[in-house]
Amino acid sequence: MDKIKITNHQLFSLTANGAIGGSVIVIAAVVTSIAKQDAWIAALVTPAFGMLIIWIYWFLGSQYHGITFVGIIKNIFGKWIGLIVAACFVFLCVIISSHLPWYISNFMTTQTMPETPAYAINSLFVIAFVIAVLYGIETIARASELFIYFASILFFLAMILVLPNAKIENIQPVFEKGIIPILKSSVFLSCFLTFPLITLMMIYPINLTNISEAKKSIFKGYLWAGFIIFITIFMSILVLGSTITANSQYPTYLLAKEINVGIIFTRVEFLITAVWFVTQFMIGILFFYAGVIGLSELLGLKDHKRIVMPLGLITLVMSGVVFPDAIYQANWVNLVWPPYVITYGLILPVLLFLVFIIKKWIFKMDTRG
Amino acid sequence: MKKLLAILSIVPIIFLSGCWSSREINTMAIVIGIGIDKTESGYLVTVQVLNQKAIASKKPVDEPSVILYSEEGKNLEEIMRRFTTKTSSILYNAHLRIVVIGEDVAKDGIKDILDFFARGHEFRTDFFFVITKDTTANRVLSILTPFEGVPGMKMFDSLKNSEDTWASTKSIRIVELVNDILADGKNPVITGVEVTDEITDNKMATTSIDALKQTQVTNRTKYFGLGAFKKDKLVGWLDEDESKGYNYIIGNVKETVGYAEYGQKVKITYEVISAKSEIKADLVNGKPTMNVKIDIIANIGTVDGEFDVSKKENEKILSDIAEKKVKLICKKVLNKTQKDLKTDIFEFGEVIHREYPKVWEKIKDDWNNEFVNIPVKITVDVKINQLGQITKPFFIKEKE
Repeated sequence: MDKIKITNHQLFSLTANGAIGGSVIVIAAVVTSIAKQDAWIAALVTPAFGMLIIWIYWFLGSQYHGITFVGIIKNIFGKWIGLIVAACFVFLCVIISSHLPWYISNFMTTQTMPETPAYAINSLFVIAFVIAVLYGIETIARASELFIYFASILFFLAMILVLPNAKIENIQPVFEKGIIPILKSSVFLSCFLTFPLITLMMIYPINLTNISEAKKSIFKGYLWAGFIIFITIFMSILVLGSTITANSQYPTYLLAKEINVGIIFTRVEFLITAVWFVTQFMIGILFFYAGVIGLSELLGLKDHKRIVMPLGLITLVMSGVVFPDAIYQANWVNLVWPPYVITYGLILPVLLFLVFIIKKWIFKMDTRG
Repeated sequence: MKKLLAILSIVPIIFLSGCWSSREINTMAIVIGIGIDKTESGYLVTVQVLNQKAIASKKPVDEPSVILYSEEGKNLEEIMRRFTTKTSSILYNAHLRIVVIGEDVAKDGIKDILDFFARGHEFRTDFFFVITKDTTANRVLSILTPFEGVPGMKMFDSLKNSEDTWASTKSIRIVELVNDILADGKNPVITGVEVTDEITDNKMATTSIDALKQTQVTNRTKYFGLGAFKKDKLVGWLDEDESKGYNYIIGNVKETVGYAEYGQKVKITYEVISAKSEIKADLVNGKPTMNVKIDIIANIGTVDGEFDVSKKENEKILSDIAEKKVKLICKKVLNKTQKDLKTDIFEFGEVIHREYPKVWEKIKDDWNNEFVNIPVKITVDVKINQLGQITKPFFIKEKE
């Protein structure tokens, strides 16, 4: 159905942007609140597990070249069960795409523009979503290709500038509380770093020309994001210490506030904000795009562009009311988000994988449906 | 259709120019310093606001460069807003340089104040904290300064310079301060500020711009030394020597000057050009002991009396007497903190925490009592680098 193709490098940048976007500015707080000064080890452990999950994503995609994740679910689980599961997945995408503008407006209204109504900021964001999806995946992929350079350069610039404030004492003693808190926080980290990439399943099996090369680009993108998140957490602990990191709403932003090199490089914390905005925008688009494509496929529409506007409007309204306040949001992120995203980002693909294996190799069934 | 879209997208641009929550510079009262004192009803907050007329004008203006406002109230956030009843514009805090905390407030604890500064979105993290000694924060902020016309800026720069070249002060920002209070095995220090020559006749006090017309200003703000805290409460003061000793122990000396005596008549002044320290913990019979090793590189500043610094055999004497002197002031500050103040400002506890986590687990709840009795061994190593522009002092009589 969709004849637009993207290159492997674009897939790399989509993966990296998506994985960075959900996590770069807030994740250090969640991870350090559990693992304390050892949180940076969690950032090393997570990609190791994550690679396995990403491999499953790739494997499913590679077996069903030419159909989306919704199609894959329907194929493997059969028509009716598949329909229900796929509908739940699409619902997740639509809901989360309305969460992401909320983060942006919450950040802007707490940090810089407290009098600005949240909807003013949200609408700018959602309008950009809608325009991007109307232009199609090719435009999104090209934009993300630019964004990843932009984000990486600014990010490393900020990290180098904050380096003089680092204190090695802040990460010692290493392994104070043992491995358990590290693994626990690693689960949380995966919820932001790894599992949201399930949305890529709506893109690469169908829009990629060379599916066998896809494995490499996804892995590369994921590892690059993992590296950036590791640096984020590591530097936050080195500069701010674990307690302040754990208790601040936007630790990476606070970290950038600490930049103080001579009298020239001060007050440059919006470097980090810029990185976060563009990457958050990309993960938002991934969810929104997945929601749009998924819904149109569920409804059997020929052209997904017809539901972009209405869905955008729903997203915009939802983005203002989805969390009543910051306390609710903090609890939601800690209590609801992990099990929710684990269901779709871990359990669902693993289940699909197992059923696929059983169908193909035990019953020798034709898995192409 | 396309034309309509174009018009629809251009029209909002006309109305939505600029930022939503924008504030022009002439509507902002830029706060340089905030002073917090204790009163019966809560806090007395003094803000030092830039007088833009005096700063920005090209012609000399007969007005002070800053204006003070003070306001009383129970809670800081409330007081900061109530300032609008006195000022023409809204206070803008992002350029804050210095927070002066009154001695009384510091003795009662500064946790609530720190929460205010960490939570407010306008506050950055690059301002310093100081505490007043024998005076109020209001008084400190009211003193005008020559050269650097903005007193808050003067205090900021002076703190940095004195830390870098004289080593009796320590600049502390909010991130470090909060971490010091939070850590179990560490307590913060904040530099104290006093007003010199407090005079009763207030006519020529430096709160008036007229006082700046003299070469000798009657009273000034001066950094006194360090105030030692126990958690978030001020418990006592270290004098200049003790503050230096503290900075030697924690390795915060960049440059300083000190003298040492040799015999009765010879006095040698050293310029310390680099000082490093290493704090280590050892276990002796399961009990932790501390080892502090200080490495100093110094130049000879002046030589008073008959002492030939260029002689090879005198080199050892030079470093020996300096080592003794540094050791003495380090011992002095250790004694004071262990015997009088009973607070671990050297982060010895954190050193044990890092090196022996299991031992630390056992003693951490009772650390303040443990600290008082912990044996500390100080070793100082001084290396003489240069003698200055002359070698042997001119006024030594040659012995034939």
